[in-house]
Amino acid sequence: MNKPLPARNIGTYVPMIDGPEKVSGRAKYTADIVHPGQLAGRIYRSPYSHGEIVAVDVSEALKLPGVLAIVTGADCDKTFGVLPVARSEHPLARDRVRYRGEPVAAVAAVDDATAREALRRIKLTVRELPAYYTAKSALAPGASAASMV
Amino acid sequence: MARLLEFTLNGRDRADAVADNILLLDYLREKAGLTGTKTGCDGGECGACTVLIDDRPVLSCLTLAATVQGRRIDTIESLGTGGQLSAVQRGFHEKLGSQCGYCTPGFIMASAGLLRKNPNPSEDEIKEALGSNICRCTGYVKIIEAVQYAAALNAQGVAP
Repeated sequence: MNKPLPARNIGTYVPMIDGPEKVSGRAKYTADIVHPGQLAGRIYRSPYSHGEIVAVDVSEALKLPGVLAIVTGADCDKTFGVLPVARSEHPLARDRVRYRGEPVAAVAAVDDATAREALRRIKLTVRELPAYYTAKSALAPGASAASMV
Repeated sequence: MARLLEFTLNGRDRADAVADNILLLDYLREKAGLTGTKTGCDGGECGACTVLIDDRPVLSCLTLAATVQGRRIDTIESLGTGGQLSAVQRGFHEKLGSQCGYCTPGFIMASAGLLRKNPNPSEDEIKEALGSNICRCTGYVKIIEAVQYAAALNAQGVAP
């Protein structure tokens, strides 16, 4: 039988192994990594709370010099959710947008200013659907489900 | 338009041609290579980009680089001497005021600004000084404790 060891760390401060890097600003996060010639990415997000996607028109954005690629939900047919509540999620919205801020398209461009300008040229057309801003209204009889898990 | 910007960055004089529309945050990260200052919300809400201008905490994402002409800028990279952490850095490390660490440089600079002005702050003064900073993992109890510990270290002679 294993004998339980005395708990030496309970109730004490155990500083993190990477604490000194984090408190000195030396820790490198993904956003801190810069390579020569690195492209800038920006995401176009839904301004609608709930809507059926009629069209995502990226043609004007693609014409902008310095824009290298744009992907939309049409390019993302695989779900990626790991958690059960997210297993029906796509990286970019496909049939519907389900909340204001849901990613709809992603732009790669030579720099951030160009990527931002490309976002302004993307045209999202939706048929708006009822949106619910309280738990009560979302649970009311006749409310439509935001997603099917 | 660009202009010649002369100022003091982390104790050293610096001169750089800087576009009028570049933010201090982007200047620090992209031109000066000081990525310890973090881009969080990019809109003045989270405090991750806090730096000191003449010892006063400022959000670098809302500051044009061109406006710091002749000023003294301190970033997280300026803290600590000879490989030793500063009092505030030690506080956040030893009192567990940092988890993922992304907000930490902003909190540390806001705290350093507070201790430079007020070496013995009350809990309310600490809360007020950190009112512009958001942490999404630790919560604020350990952070306040970190600043109190830093003030005690500072009283023993460790620079904030």
